[in-house]
Amino acid sequence: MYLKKGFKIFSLFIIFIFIFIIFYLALFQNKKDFEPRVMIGKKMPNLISQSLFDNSNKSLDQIFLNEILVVNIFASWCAPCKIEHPFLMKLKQNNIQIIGINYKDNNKNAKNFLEKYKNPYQEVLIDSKGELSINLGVFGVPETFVVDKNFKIIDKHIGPIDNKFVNKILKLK
Amino acid sequence: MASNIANLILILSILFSFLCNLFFFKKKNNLSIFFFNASSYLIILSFFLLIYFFCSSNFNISAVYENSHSLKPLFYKFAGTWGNHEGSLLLFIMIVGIYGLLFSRYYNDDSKFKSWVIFFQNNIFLIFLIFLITTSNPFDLIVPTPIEGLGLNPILQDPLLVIHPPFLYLGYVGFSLTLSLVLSALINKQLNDRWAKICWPWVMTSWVFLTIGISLGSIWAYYELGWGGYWFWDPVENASLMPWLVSTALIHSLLVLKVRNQMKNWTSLLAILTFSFSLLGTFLVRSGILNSVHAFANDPDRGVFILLIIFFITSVSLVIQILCSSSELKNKFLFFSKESFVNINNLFLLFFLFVVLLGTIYPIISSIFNKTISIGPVYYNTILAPFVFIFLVLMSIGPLLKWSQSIGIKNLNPSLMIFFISILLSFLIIQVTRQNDLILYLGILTSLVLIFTLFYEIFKNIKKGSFYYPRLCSHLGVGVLFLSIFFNAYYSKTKDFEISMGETKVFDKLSIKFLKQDIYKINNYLEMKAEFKIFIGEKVFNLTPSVRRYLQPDQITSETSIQPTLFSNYYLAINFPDQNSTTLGTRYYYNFFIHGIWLGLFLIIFGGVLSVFKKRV
Amino acid sequence: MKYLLIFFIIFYSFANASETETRSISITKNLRCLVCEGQSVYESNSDFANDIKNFVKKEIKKNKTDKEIYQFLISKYGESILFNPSLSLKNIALWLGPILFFLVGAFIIFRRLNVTK
Repeated sequence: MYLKKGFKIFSLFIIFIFIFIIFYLALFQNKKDFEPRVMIGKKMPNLISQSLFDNSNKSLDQIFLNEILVVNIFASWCAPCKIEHPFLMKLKQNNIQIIGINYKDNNKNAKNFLEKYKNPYQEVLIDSKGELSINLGVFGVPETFVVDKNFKIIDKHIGPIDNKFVNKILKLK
Repeated sequence: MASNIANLILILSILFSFLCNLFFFKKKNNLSIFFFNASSYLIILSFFLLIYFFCSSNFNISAVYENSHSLKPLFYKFAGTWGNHEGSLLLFIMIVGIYGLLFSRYYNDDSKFKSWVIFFQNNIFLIFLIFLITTSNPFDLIVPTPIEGLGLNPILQDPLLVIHPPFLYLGYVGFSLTLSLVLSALINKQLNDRWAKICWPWVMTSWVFLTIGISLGSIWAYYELGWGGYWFWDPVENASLMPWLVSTALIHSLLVLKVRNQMKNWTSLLAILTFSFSLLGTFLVRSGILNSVHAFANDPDRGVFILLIIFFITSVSLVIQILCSSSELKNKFLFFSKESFVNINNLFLLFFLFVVLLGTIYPIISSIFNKTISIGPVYYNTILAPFVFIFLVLMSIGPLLKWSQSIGIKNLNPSLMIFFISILLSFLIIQVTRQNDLILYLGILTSLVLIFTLFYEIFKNIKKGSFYYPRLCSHLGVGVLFLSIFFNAYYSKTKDFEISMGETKVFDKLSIKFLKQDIYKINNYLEMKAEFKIFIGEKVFNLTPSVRRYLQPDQITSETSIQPTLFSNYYLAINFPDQNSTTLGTRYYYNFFIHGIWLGLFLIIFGGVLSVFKKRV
Repeated sequence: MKYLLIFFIIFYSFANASETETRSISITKNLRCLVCEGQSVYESNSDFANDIKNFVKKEIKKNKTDKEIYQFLISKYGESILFNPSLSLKNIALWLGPILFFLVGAFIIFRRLNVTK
């Protein structure tokens, strides 16, 4: 009888340790893994929309110059976009091509934003209803994509970019 | 100064708690109980002190600073006391203490048993008190004194949401006493029918409060969130449902123990699991492991601490249960007997528990393997439905059976009759309303079987006057609840549309006209109210849904506007207006038979309340 | 005659609208809002949710099937955007687990029962 009880207690502890490990791991799971990264490795969708500057219809593959391209989703009403702005300027200064996607914004406000903070973009496409962003698997602003010379998405960053990300891109050039 | 007094009270409380243990080991029972009581009273005092700090906006106190704001209305300052992790943890501990105090006051039969119960209750109290002081002290001092607080989530500024946590806690924290009772019984070899009778009102009281708490949450979600739903299988909702399911199984198991002095080991196991699931719920909500609108403090380190507490309490309890379990005769039950059906009831309830547990835990487990998965209502509804149907039918038969006898099959003739009547009636309803859905049909059928069987029981026994109305009331509540759930799910209507001012939309035999909109500034928010006029046949009424923009913190909420009818609701909500848009996004719901759901919940609760006070087997 | 035509156009657009809407509601209830805490796209007012809602409505009008819409969104956002766990081998535990539990439980009880009439 004691053997049976001892066995029960032993197996209880084994199960508990197992459960504990699972919960412990889950607690410290890096939430970054929940970000959708399915688009990485896929071909960049060709985005077509009006340019912010001259209202003409532009498509991304027209603008593409067969070299490293950065696509940045931003909006004038987005506070972290202001924070990441200097880093975008740094990329521009290093001759990295950056295309801006203006997400659900007012055209006038967007132009004022770029005038006030300076314009890092070669071109800006308007995304007034968020449709272009869905094509990229975006769920908030800012988000940044890195496209290689074969028009494939090789990296993405959710939230404002930092020096580390900028250096990563510069190394690719 | 204020902070120091409060901290002193907490420390004194811990000291007294240790003294309780000390005197218990020295077999000085009266002193032991005295110090537990004193310790609990001190925590009650500290809680009132915290309330005072909140109401007087004392931003020296960390909990007040982080969760309150001077612009908040007094009532919500008061409620803010438990609208945060630290304050609600103090409430948690206070309730452990209160249940202990009440037991200490009202139970005086066996002093050895009593001292053991208080001993266990004291240690649950102590563990959480230590946790509070070391990681989540609401009375931490903030220096220098901030001028203003950080505010409270505006969604929490609602009367229903204010009383929802206290009721939930009085529920699942109350099962701490259940644990203490069962552990004492195990150690003292007193796990028997007498113990079940002693235990009964304490378990029922906790169960009633838990049911009320869950119902309030559901009512709040319906009236406040604005999507016409009342249950979303949200992980935090599930966290409260799990102890409810186990405790319901426990109640039925206790019945067998009370009447037949059988199922001892199983009942003790259920009693331990009830509090374990309460603790699991606490962990899930507070550790940041879940994604939910409800989730409190996202702090993994606290999470580990709580996890350790749960494992400690549960493993000690289970070890005691294994070591002290009686080698009772495993006599077999006859199939058509009450005992057998209680076992089947337990099987079904634990199955439901397993489904809810699996659905809640599965995303957590798959997150370890870097795979995100979300479990929504479709999973729960699909897998539970068939079992719910069978459960409702069995629930109608169970109470008709007798103890330790097998009832002859022909005694179940009335059930057969009721079954046929229900089949016909359900079929009629389906045909008349032209909703040819099998699930709906089965849902109506099985609910009606349960309801009609209960009416039959009442009718048969009303002359004798010898029926047990608490059980009838609660079971009737279950029948009404499920019938209403199915009606509501299949006969409700919803429409999303954009409407401009002055415009009238026509659909579903009614027309809605957007009259005007106004903007107000009240207390700590800006409100945009839209007025609509609704025409249905002869009836005309106005609805005024609104959106609010709160100042501190910056958040937008939607307030619904509802026109009730006898059974149902006309329900309107609006979206926050788009900057560039001239139209207003509006959501219209006709929630059919929603009042039936509230009635069902009320009957379940009322039956429980009757059971606490009714002195009968 | 003209009025009859107008009536039918309006009626048709509402009839159609309700069909679009029912589908739109059921699809968006099955999509997880990725910026919310566990709510569905249907139950959220966030920018992301509104974008997805508009997208779904547009796709329905383009006569895309439910499956096509889900597939597209999965290809952009991953499987985690779906609420309903698909019936794949990885999720078999979710569906089979409870059944197994019930059968084991039923067996245990059955042993305790004396099934004689």
